[in-house]
Amino acid sequence: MELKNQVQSSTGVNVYAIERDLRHLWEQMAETSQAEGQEPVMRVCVLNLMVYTPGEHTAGEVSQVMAEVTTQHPSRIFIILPSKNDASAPALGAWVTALCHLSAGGHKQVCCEQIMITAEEDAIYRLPSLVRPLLVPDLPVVLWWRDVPSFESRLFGELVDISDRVIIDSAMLPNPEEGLAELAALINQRPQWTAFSDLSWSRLTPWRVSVAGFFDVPDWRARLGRLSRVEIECRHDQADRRSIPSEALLIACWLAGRLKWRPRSKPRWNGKHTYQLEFVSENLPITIQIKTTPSTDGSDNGLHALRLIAEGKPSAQFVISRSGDGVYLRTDVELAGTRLAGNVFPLDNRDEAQLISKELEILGRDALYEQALAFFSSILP
Amino acid sequence: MMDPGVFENPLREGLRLELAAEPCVAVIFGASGDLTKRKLVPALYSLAAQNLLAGGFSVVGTARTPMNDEAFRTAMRDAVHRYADAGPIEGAVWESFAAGLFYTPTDTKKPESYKKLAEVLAKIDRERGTAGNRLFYVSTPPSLYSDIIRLLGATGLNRAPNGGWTRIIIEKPFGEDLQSARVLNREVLQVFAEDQVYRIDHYLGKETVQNIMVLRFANGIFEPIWNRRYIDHVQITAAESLGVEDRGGYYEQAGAFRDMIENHLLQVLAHVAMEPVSVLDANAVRDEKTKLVRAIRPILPEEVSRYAVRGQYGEGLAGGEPVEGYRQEKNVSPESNTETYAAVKFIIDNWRWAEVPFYLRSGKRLPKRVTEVAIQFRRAPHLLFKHVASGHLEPNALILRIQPDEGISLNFSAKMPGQAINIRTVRMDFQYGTSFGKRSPEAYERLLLDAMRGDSTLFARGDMVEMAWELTMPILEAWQQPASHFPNYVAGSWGPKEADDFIERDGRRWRRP
Repeated sequence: MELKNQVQSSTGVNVYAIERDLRHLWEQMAETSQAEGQEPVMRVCVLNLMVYTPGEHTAGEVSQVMAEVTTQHPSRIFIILPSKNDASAPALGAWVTALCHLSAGGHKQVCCEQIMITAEEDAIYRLPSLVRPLLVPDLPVVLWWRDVPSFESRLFGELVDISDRVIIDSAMLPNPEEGLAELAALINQRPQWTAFSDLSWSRLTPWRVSVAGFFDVPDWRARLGRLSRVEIECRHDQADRRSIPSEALLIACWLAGRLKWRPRSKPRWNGKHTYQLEFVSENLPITIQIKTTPSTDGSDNGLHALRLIAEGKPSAQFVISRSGDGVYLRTDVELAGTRLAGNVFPLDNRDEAQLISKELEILGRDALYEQALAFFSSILP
Repeated sequence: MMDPGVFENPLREGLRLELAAEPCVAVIFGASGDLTKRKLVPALYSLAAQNLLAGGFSVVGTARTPMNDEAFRTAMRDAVHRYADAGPIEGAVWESFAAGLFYTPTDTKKPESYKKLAEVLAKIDRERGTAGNRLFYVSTPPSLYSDIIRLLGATGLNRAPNGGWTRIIIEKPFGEDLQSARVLNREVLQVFAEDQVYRIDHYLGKETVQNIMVLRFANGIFEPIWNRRYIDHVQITAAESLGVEDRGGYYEQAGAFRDMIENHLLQVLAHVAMEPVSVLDANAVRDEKTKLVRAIRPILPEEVSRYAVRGQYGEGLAGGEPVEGYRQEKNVSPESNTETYAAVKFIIDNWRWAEVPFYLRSGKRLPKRVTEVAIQFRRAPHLLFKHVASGHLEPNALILRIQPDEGISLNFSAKMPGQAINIRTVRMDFQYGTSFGKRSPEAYERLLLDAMRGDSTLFARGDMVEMAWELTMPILEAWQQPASHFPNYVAGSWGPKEADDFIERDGRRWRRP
């Protein structure tokens, strides 16, 4: 679908002014489309999406992501960003914008609205009270915190309070081990109706589906009980400072938790770049090794390969690997030294817009994610 | 709707993504045909690109045409390029998918061909780890079905080696009348158990048809009014703007009733009218649908003219262009008796639907291509706004559009702004395309994947197929009589005048979709 139109106006900030500007915006859209013989405008909204981003330099990126996301999830978007204190300007500012796309058949412009709100640091606490009355009633409210998760901050807490779903990216955590444990504690404290999503977990979806897919085959499922080693390879910006990417921790904990492996010792570094987790299952020791290598330019961060090795006769290896260009995943199975046919498929969660779109398809809590987090907390030193 | 066996995989449990299938070999009989090129292989490729097929998944195409694996792969690549709607072919994905495409020429009447096929399958099992799982897809002309099924049985291909599974998908039409459907059912069930048999009706794979159940049973507001107390009647329309195109030969034997109403529209009716199931399980859903079809009042031979109408288009204008009449189309007899339009009224004799007519109609060369279900509610019981001409107060209607522009609309009355009370019918619209910008999977993608996963919910069961034929035979038999009044509608119109008279006799009118 093509981005068809954008109309923008600025407004002084109070709820009534924003609502008035929204009304004007739609009238203007309808008049323009009629006068210029464009396709009729259809206003669609399936949810409220609040995006917190740390500053103007990232607001442009977020707007682009929203233009893509709204082709699948037309929503009322709130982009919330802090600005520097400036005595000469109002403490709060707001802009409304219509985001329009041609519908699949090309007969209509499907439009939704974006409200960008800026708040000076001293006024940032006023944001939730401004957003609350502008939420479209009866539709889900999703918060995407596009910044380092700030679990202790008042703004984060208040926005979480009005959200049905909160999306963070644990890859941004400066210390994933501590951060994931804090997140597990936070989820535990929240009311049942607040769901949490993590884009790092989302990036793992095709990996987890592929791992599960190996063991849909009854013959191969029997080898789950004979797994002895799991090797996870990942690239990481901070690989040289003993930090483990959250993706690697999450997939290791998902696997161990689902297979009911019991920790044999506390996780530890084994050399400079290898993090080791040890488990036991039915008296069989299992080792998960997470090997990190520095990323070249940050664009190749994340998981690169996952190997599940079952010993005994016949031996088996189940391998998932990411292509060098990061576009495809490949699955391979080796039984008793014979390599069987695998699959190659494109990764459809490579950018933020794809990840967010997938997250917005789900409304309930993600029990598996929460279990993986809780499992990780339970094995920490 | 999930294979219970899958829950034994502790890593599968709780995953949000749809289930992938076990590795298997899909054997397509009729692989040089149009369906394979247009639908089956593009659907399989699309599943592969979504990582919904297991590693090792393979296809063996088979037909009379001599061809080797490479030629088959090239032909299928062209087909995917031309017909897949999921975007351009991705090189690495295609290479991986194509490595599992094989072809073996077959004479469907010769046992040797099946023995050779068995050898090919055994080799694929060894080399690609398909574990003896086979999915046969019969998409040949129906005249070959019997031989294929019999010889699959005679050569032992109906039983999976190595503890795998064997399933068979049989393309429509399943029989051409009650007797042939019974014979075919008997032949199939002599070789395969019912739970191995998947009788395909691609309408059931359409998202919007599946959504009928979601609309009814996942929302609290519809089910309480989904009955004779609130619903006046139901109209199910499947209109085509095209003529018979290149299918004159087939259509001469089939006609509109066999082609659309006996299978597709009756299945849609069953979804609209069935009772809720207590669990979402293949047999529970199919039990309810079968019970519903059983409750449809049989039409006696002497009542056919009261309950059904047929028509055939003559020349006319379609989209502003002059078009030929049916009898002038290629491969059609100039004296053809075949109906290109059919309408029928069914009454369901059960507690929920007593005396609520279900009008089903389908035709070719109608003004537009549209398939929809219209639930027409009863009028408000007391006319409060007496000065408003009652004709202007339309009863509420809930429209489920199956194609194109899939969606749901609700028509209701609203006051026009102003001092006076002027009432107009307005329409509240939900469109899949605008609310969800996500591509709906092709019907064949869903159905092929379900068959690989062993989920037969969206496939017709033998008893329902026979029951549908039993119900419709009196009409088809009556329509054997020459139709001296053909052609009786102009191409590009909404069908014959008899069809309007037919529904107007009940004090109702066809909707204009």
